[in-house]
Amino acid sequence: MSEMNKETQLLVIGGGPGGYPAALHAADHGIKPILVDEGAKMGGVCTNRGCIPSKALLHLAKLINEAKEAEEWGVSFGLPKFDLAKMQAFVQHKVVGKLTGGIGMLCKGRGVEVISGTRATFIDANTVKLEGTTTGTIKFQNAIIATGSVPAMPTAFALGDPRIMDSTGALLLPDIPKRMLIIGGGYIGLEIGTVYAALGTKIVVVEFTDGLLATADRDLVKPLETRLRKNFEAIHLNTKVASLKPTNKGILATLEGKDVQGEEMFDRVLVSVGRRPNSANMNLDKAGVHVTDRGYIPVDMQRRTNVPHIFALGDVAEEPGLAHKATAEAKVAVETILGEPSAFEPRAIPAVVFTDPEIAWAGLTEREAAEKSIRFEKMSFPWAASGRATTLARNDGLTKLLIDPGTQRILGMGIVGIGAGEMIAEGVLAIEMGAVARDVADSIHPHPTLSETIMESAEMALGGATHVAKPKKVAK
Amino acid sequence: MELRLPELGEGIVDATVVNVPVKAGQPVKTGDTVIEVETDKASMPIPATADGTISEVRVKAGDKIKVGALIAIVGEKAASAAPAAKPAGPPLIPPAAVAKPQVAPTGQREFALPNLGEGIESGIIVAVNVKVGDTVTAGQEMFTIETDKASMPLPADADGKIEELRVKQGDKVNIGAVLAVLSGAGSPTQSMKRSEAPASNGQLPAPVVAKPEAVAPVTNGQATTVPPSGPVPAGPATRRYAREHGVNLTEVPGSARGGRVTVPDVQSHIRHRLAQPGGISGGAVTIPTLPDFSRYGPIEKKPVSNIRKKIAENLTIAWHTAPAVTQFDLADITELEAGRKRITEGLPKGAPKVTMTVLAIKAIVAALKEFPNFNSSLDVANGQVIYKQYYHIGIAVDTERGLVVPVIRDADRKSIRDLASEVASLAEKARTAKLAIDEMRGGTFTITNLGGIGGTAFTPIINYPEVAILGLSRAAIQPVHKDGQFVPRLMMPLCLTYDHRIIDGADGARFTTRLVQLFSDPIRLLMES
Repeated sequence: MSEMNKETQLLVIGGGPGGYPAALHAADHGIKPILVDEGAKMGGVCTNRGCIPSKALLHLAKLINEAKEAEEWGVSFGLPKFDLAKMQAFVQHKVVGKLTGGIGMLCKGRGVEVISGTRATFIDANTVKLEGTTTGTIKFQNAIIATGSVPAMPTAFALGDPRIMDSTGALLLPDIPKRMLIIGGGYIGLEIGTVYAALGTKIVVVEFTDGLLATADRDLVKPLETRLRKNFEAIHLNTKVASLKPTNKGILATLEGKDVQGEEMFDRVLVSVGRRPNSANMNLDKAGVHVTDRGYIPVDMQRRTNVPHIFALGDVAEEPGLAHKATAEAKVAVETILGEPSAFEPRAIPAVVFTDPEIAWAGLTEREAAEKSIRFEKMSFPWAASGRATTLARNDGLTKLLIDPGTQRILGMGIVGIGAGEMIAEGVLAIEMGAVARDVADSIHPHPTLSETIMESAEMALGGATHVAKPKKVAK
Repeated sequence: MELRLPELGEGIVDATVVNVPVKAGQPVKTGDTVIEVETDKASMPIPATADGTISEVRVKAGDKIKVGALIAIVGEKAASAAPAAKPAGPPLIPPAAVAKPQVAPTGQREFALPNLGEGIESGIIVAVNVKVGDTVTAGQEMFTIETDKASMPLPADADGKIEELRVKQGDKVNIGAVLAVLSGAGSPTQSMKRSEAPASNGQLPAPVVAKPEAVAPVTNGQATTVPPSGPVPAGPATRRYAREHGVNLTEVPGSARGGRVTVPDVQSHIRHRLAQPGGISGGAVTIPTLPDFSRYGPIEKKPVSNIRKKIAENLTIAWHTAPAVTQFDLADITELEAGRKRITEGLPKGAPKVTMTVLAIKAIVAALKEFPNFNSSLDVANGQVIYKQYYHIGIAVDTERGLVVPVIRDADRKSIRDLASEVASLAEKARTAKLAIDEMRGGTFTITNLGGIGGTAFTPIINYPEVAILGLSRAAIQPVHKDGQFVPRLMMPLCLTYDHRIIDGADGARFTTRLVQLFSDPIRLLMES
């Protein structure tokens, strides 16, 4: 515990993928920022309890599944054995520890003063109070609020039982439960469900709405849902978890749905019903910063809040809550502070669901087009026609382009299939660059790769793809 | 037929509907008022352009509509479907419209210089590749023309025989001018439009169409573009570049595939904008981001009014194009002012006042007659000075909504009394926002009188496209050395700003000296105006 009273040009609150890039970018341009982070280790939710540990676990799940599938192709490894302690160590030390340490080194090397384990609350529009490992006050000329979000936990489920987990708890891999209930069919629930299913847990997903992954287009969800229904015990749509009751034998859940009614026993429950912005308990009102009813801090194109020298970005600012969006915003906010004509105006923010198969999209979705009455033509290339997908025995994929019917400009791209998350970057580039279908169709893609499916779907807009007999044009 | 909001005047892009006296089902005759609109300058009726019955009215009072917007649909009367005088739609100039060969009754056709692209009005014939008696086929190159942008071949638009050549090498010809007369059956085909024809003779198409400059960056309100749907296709680097240079990407024509805007497109747009005086608007120059003023104290933000934008635009054009000099002088108006007071006091109540501005109009007209340079405009594009043989004097009027400049027409032919009454009435119209646009057009010289407010001198900015402006400051009693002693005289400061491109410094001094003489000697003023 140390006491400090400092002044800074730039105070960054939060050490996640919005906060630390902001501090580094500022430091690279002659500002000496102070970064205050509540966590003990840098990196925020993303590195410590989100994107990164989940991806490490999903990599293990992929190995397990592929080893199992290889039996059909004549390669047998026998049954997998799990050393839970070693797995935890892999995730927490080899992956998370390595990355958070790296971020700490970066900050130190580039002149960012980091105050970790400390909470900053506003006293006025130019001062914060520090509580935690370090106490005292910091006076700032500019501030960037990048405090992220936390898992939402409905009070009905917050029973204090360790077997009822949020994503943070589940990613610690406390044990391998026999049967687990996942409340919420969003990307977090499905990713973690994929991990535990590979480890042998029987997964039951309960989703309140009529479909998984509410924001994704249905044609992309379908191949995933087909596979998940095979690997999970059950997926109950239009179903509600009325109550959870901890018992000695497990957690007794009361399900109310069309195809399932009554009580069922689970060893563990994952509550993944969304995330909420982390804007409470910071005394933002003392700084005069507006917060919406839902807890988001409204910002302008430069990521300024209503108080012009206080910026907000990442999950706490606006949806979508995605790490890469926060990092992009960080650059904009810092450039604005540096007096550059910056603006956050992406044409496409990619979204990736790291399930198996993965789902990824960028730009316009069919859903959004319907909401906004945007006309488009859809070019869908089924992976059944992809040589590479066949060699991987994973033809359960689809690549689609949504293009403008007049100009053939690429408005959106959606992919479901293994590796979709890596491939979507091409779609982002195409959309940001204002590419038309011919730009993509005429760019030679390497063979044999899954990326050819993007080229071929673009070719469909020009009249026909090499590997699909008849282009399916769906004009809307 | 559709009735659309016609062009209301230079620089006017929209108007507010104030009254809709017609309704659906009502018959109208050509000239009947369909709606009344108001712009920042004037209000005016929009008449029907053909007889018919209103089948649908698309606007209502209070709507703000753009030039070219659909106002109403007029069902035509069965037989009277005369080609509506001129569809008042957006002035989409069809390329080569002027170039349509007119079929002469004798079977001869005229071959005219087609439209070569936005902003190109003429060119020089650098080669004549055919002679009288030659038979040409469509697409065959007949002439080569050079403009300030490029040189390009002019192919025949149809088969025929050259009957007459109207131009020779070195001739400067305007768009639409007849270059040759051809005979023969061939009627021009669509595919032989100039922009496509060169392909047939193996030549690359003339670059004009592809040049971004030629694709009508709309800046002067003379053309309207289709409002872009959705974001402008341009990559992040291009968008950033545009932001850094204060360029509105919707105004930049894209040259890449599918109309994508590239960094070179933005660069060429900026060059074009700088090269074309008409393209510079108040907001178009590179303006660095403003600091956040609210950090230093409370602020209030208000939108800039249209009239203020227009003022900013015109003054910025003048500021950027004319290297201006301001010449100061003092006029002894002791006697003139005494006379003016006498006359004014003798006038019945309510009669228009003879103000110093009115007398200044007289003096200016006299001086302009002597120095025609000051009554001219410079046409840089065509390398000409345009001398005006009329004297329309603009009077800067301070109104609540901003500066407006009504124009006194033919000031040289009006008596002081007429001028006094006209100045009074125009100033009143200006203050009540009732000036018609035509009442603000056609000025050849402007007077701005701040004498009523104060100040010893100022540097007025020329009212583009005029070339000079006279500012009057407050007259004051000053000691003047005369006949061996100082005598108190009423001296009025004159501030003459002129465009040094066409007016030399010596002429500037001569002009003010002449004005001083006229102001100082009422009889002379009387004699010479």
